[in-house]
Amino acid sequence: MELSFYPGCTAHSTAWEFTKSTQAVMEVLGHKLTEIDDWNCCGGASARAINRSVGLGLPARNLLIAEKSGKPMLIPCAGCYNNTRRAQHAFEKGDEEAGRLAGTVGGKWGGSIEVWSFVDFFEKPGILDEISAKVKKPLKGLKVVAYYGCQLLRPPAVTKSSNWENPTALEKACEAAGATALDWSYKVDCCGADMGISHGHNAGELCSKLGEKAAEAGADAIVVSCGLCQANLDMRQAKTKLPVVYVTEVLGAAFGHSGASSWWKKHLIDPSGLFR
Amino acid sequence: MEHNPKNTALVLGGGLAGMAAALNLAARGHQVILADSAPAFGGLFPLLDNQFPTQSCGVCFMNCQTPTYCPFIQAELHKNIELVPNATLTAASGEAGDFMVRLAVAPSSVNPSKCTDCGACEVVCPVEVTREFGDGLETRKAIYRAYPKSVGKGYVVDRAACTRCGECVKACDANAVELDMAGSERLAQVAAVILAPGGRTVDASVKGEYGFGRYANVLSGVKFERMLAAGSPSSGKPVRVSDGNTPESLAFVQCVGSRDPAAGRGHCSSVCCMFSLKQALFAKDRSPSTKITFYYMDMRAFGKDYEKYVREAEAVGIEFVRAMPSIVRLDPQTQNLLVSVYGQSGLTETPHSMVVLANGFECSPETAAAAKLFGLDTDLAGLKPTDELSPCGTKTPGVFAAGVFRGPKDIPEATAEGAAAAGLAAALMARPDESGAPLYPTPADFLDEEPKVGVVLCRCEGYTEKFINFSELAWIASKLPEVSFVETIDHACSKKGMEECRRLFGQHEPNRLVLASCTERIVGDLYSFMFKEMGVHPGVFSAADLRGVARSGVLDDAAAEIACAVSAANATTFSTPRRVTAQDNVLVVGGGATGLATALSLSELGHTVHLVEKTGELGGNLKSSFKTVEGSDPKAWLASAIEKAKNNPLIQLHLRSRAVESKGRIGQFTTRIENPEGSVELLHGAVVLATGAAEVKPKGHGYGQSPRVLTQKELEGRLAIGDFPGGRVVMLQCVESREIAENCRPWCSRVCCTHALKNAREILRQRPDSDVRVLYRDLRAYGRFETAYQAARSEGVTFTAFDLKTRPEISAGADKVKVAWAEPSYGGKATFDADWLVLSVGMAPDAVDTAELARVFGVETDAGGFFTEKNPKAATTDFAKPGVYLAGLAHAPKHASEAMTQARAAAARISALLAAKTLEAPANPSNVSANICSRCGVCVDACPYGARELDFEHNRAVVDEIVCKACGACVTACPNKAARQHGASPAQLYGMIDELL
Repeated sequence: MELSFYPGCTAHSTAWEFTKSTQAVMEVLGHKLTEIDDWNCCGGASARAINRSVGLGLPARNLLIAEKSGKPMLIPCAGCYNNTRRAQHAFEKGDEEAGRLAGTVGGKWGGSIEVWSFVDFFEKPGILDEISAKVKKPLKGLKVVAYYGCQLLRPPAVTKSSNWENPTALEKACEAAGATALDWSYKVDCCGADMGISHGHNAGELCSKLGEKAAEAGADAIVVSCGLCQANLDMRQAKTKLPVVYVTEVLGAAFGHSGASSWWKKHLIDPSGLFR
Repeated sequence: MEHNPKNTALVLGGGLAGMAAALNLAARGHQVILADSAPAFGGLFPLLDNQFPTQSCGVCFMNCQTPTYCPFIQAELHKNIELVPNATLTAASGEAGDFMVRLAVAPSSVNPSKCTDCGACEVVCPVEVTREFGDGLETRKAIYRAYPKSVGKGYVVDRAACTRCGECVKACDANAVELDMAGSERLAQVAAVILAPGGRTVDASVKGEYGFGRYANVLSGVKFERMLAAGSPSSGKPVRVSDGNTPESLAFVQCVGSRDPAAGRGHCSSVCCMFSLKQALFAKDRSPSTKITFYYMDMRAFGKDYEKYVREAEAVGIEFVRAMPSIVRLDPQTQNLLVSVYGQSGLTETPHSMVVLANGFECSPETAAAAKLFGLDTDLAGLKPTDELSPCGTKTPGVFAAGVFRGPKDIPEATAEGAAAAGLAAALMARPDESGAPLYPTPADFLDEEPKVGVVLCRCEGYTEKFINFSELAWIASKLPEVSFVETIDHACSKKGMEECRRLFGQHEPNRLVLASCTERIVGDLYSFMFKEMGVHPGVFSAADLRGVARSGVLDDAAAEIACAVSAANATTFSTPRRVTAQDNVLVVGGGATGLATALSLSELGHTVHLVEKTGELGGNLKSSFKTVEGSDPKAWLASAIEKAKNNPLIQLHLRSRAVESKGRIGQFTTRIENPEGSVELLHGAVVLATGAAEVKPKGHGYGQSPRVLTQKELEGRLAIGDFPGGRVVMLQCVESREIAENCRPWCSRVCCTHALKNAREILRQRPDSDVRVLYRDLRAYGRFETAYQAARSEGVTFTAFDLKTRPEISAGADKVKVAWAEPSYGGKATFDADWLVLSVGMAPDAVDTAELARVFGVETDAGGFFTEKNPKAATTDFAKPGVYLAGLAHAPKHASEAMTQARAAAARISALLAAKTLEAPANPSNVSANICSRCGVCVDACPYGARELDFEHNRAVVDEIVCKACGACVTACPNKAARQHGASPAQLYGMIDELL
């Protein structure tokens, strides 16, 4: 299928490997990604906290651009996804604010396309089978826990998620790649990335706890679908040093993608040993 | 069954409320179509192993006294009730008195007339799926029975799970399995409809953060209830699902899917606190080493005597933590669950071996659709209320409602509502000429013949057969004196088993039948009923407890038990049962809302009523009620009710009157009423005591000293006339209530929390600048009242919880009241200079009055002066003494609408009683051998039913045979052997003992 692709600001910086692995995986699966024209900041990091209409207006503009393409909009970054869904939700409420929002961005949301995170993407019919079919190096023996963080599924009124406390899409994708996905009770906890700069020690406590709990569950690695979660967990685990990998990296490795070795170099905790 | 459409009601829902409605209607002589969407009847009830607060067990709790009579089997056997399982209402049209309803009956795929319940199909079925009964604790096959001994036809095929492999078809010797059975449609013309479809439990996984369905050791309330049942995989012991071990610690989490607008369910499910407490007590009893913690927001133990139950739980060491856990996590190493709670000491995480989520109740979409067919609106709490002062009615004439469908509730309320709805439906139908109950035939001639005893052995569906060899036992029994045949049946207390006994009795023509199955308590009434219908004196029947004895596995014991019963059968004697004609009028004592509602209901059912009120004015508490919590106008109701009562030719009012003496029995009471002009004697068939209770005046808290201290009722009166200036107001709940101390009442008065909410909101409505604070122990805004609580909070009323250790300090002055309390939000002491202190004091009956009435009518009161009902679960409007009923606040504190429900229920039950016109004594009542009676009175004390009294004129004890239940207590108590009983003569008893020795 054809998808429009919203990379977000981390795509070319800290989450470069997320973008690369996303493109690689989509290519193997035969889905065409087209980066949306003239996209702007999603507003998730700071605008949202300061001014509601700017916080909604920024992603609203991206939404309208994406809608013109008529293709589902894939947003790998959890923060971008969340804020864009908030804009969509604001439009769809059809109230006074929706009217103002349309005025701000100069157009109305028609609701003709869907906005997807990787969680949504993996839940589409047939995707898991497509993944299994492309696996060349099954990740046998690799034990992972999936970490969704707080932005991919909540609030459910906005994301329309039906299982925001115990999502399983990332686990299913990893299982399709031959890995063993373990259940743990911390998959939708907060990693503290948002306060990483202002309250670094709090973020450190949260990340360290997540690392310990993942290790207790028996995991070799933590699988994420968010650039900020990855960076935060990669940097701030105090005792454990569990590799933190993007779900697309896991799939890419299982597909035997040649780019994988370059992705691992971007990690602080080297995951390459797990994917040999 | 041929129905007379003008005399037939449809009851939708075969749980306790529906069954109570159906049985009441059937007893009055109406015909009932009792339909349920499930393959078996009983609703949620068969799941319950034990009930609160009686700790009584099983279905048989429904027997108010011996002998047992199971409502399910009673409904199944009643000739006026037609059971239609697997039925969904698909269409309804017409109007009150003439409805046409259409039921779609799903195919069971097992022909009920052929199925022998042998279970061979279930054994061979290769498909195993989750068993709904018990919320998935066990699995079942694709061909299955909903629950053991289910009433309604036994086996059914789950079409969705069935693979049509045909194994069950091959295994069935009776050719009963018909995998291609088509569904059918049932059209019925009925005069009235009672909707009692119940509710369903909220799926505990709606609270994903608690991990139900994810972590093995997180159970729903229903699942744990099933685990505690004797027949569960762990035989009733609490065990961890993950490893089968006894839990070291067990946590209950309350309000899962209740009181939770974020989870889409704002209402309180009303019963979860109590059923969880019950589960906690049973778990503790069966696993004393398990530490139990209860996480809750408010302990809503608001029913009669429920407060005692909470104290019981505290006494056995159950830990109560007032907090709503934020999340439950799994420790992968131990499979323990970590319960996170935010409290005064911050966020804490406590490990528990096992967690039970008290999931509440909600209205299902199927139920909502059925209600819609009658133009009725529902939400997740159930039927949307219309007129709360017309309980069990709906906005659609001819359609009535009962049970959990009207909002989550416990068994006592559900069964009362069933009876109340039955009364409303019955009022639409012609008064039947006779009731459905058969009368005893006179003893037939053959009883003078030589005894000819038939012995029927019951396998108890294979249970008893596990311990005893039946062919050997049958051979021994056949050699006993006068035994003419021995036969074996499968299940004596099922309809099928009874039909088989009936056939055997006809075939062999014995004149005694010994049924070796269970105790007389369990099968006695069923078979008495059957023999009456057959025209045979029930004295021919006796039971031997084969099931109880056989468990030892000793054949000789089982044989002796049967020999004992055969010996008794050979020696038994028979009486001619005495009959009396019932007076068709009713005495109602108490002219408040309940008494008025009772009298009006009775008159609607065609009975004449004497309404006795001690004051000069009708209305009771409603005279000083101005608005109900839901906004209805009690004054308007009262004015219209008084008007109706005054103009009703069937109702005779006796104001300024008291009942001072009463004689006689059920059906024939003579009661003397005194009034200022003199006294009058009234003849009546039944009596209802509805003398009420009233708000208590507080003893302390500055009441009566400071004009700034009011009771809730006084506040309501001032608000009603706009005479309350508002300002800084503190409401103090549970004043001198829920406490065992001097000047305190130990009970919860149930209504005070909601009245406080109502008045707090009214203050803010009238005086928006006021600051209203409610200091409470447990805010008991149950059911839909929770909505009022949430509204009060959002409107700005503040609420602070306290307990007996942190009780607020009051110092009341002339124009200010200083209130100080421990403020949990910051852990310090808060002080507040209030302009007004409003006391929620609770209510009590006039104990002098109730004690006097208890003496007059031979009934009992409890320590608080409330009347003691016959059975706290199933018969809240009956006294143990036949013919005497109760309703309203004299039973326990309750809201006006709930009191009126009881009023309607009592009226319906009396109407069903009086429909029989002829009342009769049991088959074998006790009697007195006059010449050896020394009038010592021991038998009078021993009789639990008040059937005996001393006749001073003739110097002997006498028995009221109509009231006697033939229990035999007097026979064992009498020192002179003057108390005797047919069917229990000394010769007979000695013979029995010989056989047992």
